[in-house]
Amino acid sequence: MTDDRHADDLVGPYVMAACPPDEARSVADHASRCPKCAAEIAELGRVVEWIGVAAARAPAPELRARVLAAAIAARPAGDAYEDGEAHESSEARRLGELYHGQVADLDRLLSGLSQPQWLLPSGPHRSVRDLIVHLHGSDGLVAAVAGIDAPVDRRASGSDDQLRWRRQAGAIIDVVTRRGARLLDRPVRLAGRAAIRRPLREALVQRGFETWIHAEDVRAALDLPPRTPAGEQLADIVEFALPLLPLAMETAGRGRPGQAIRLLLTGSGGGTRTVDLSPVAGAVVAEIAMSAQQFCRLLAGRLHPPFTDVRIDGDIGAVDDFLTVAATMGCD
Amino acid sequence: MSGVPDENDVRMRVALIAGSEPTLAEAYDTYGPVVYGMALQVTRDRGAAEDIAQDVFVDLWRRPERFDPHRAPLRGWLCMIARRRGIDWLRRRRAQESARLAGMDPPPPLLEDDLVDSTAYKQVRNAVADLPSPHREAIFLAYYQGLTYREVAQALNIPEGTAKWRLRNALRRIGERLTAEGFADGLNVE
Repeated sequence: MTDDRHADDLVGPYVMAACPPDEARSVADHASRCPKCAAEIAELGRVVEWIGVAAARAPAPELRARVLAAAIAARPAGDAYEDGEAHESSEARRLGELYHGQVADLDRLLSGLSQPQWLLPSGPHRSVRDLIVHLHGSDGLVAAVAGIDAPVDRRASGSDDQLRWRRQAGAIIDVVTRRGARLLDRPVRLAGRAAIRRPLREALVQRGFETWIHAEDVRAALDLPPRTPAGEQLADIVEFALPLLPLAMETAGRGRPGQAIRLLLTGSGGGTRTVDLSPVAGAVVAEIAMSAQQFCRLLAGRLHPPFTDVRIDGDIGAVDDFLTVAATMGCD
Repeated sequence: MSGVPDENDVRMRVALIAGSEPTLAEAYDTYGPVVYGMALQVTRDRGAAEDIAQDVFVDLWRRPERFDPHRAPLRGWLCMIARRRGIDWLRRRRAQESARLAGMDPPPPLLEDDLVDSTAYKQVRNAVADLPSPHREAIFLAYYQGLTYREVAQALNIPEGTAKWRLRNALRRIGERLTAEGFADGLNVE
């Protein structure tokens, strides 16, 4: 199929994830520009869902207790569960606190810098000062949606930039913590090269992620040892990034429709995840085992091959495509 | 992509994130049959289907924020995961029994007596059952066995173009019949 031809009979196999990868990619490309084929994909996709749901069967009654017990063993129930907005508020407080931890850490580091140290190259930036200006700009996307006016200060020194950044980050944390329940689902443009809009809850995870990574950049510039965040924050970062990867694979021209990677993340914040290698769901073709903190550094573009302590099995080409695209998921 | 999220899905997601065990039980009671049924339909193995159902709900409980109600309804999302895991299981088993051609294994029959008794589900099952048998076979191999249309063509010894056409035509027939019977955007289950 070429881009200017309709998907025709491939629509049936496509909606059932029964196309070979290259053809599924062509159908997805074509449908993104062709309302007629997109409409048929939506219509037949709905039929596929009906067929799936209609296969419902009553499981053995004893399975219920087994499933619930296994779930509670994997994650204890909340102690004081209340319904509705109270829990969005508690989620907002949790995200606000994690972000606050990263902001406080970077702020401490910056407060100890001498004037020459502000001019040290840091991460992909010419200087620590440029890095903080960049971070302030990225945070501004969230600040704008949270209704915070970006202060228009004239830049004079590194410490002014630090103050400007910290004030804005502090205002974000304050607003999210106080009004989070009403804000968390508000769409925000994520920082980064691709203009993707996601709910504010995810943008907050990204802010904490980027703040941590830039603190690591500053530590590297100062020859200080790296610092890894708590497992809870690593798990948030992983869960933030993985759902974005199928589309990122597609956009990067490395999509593999019908294929998926099993990711075994070890250590604090780890767990096992299956990641589709394109927006078309797929079967596992390879397995990658690495620590959750390594994977987060990879996502940030701060972990480069050759990778040590990483186990890879299966289709090497798929692994290469996945790791290459995953390494572009962070910010500059 | 469903656009406006279902209010009940949003409520359940919030409650699951907060660690509400009653909501986990509600999710299992509501969608357990769909998840287990899909896993059983694919694997034809009750033990494997139970393991898959357990994994799907434990994952939902561990990471409820992975479910995005703006992208898909919870039922369809869980059903899709169960299907994918079932097909993974089948492929692993086939790799272990590599001597035989995948789609040609005659699956053991499933009893009809534990199928969920709902008029809407029956309408869908009847629409599938009433398809011409070549169409039904193609749907079975692609949807429940995870074969590509090329593998379907090979398994049924038909041209690839015919396999593609059968899959599309079968879905259209089912869709047209169900629409004529009053199905709209959702599958309304009494």
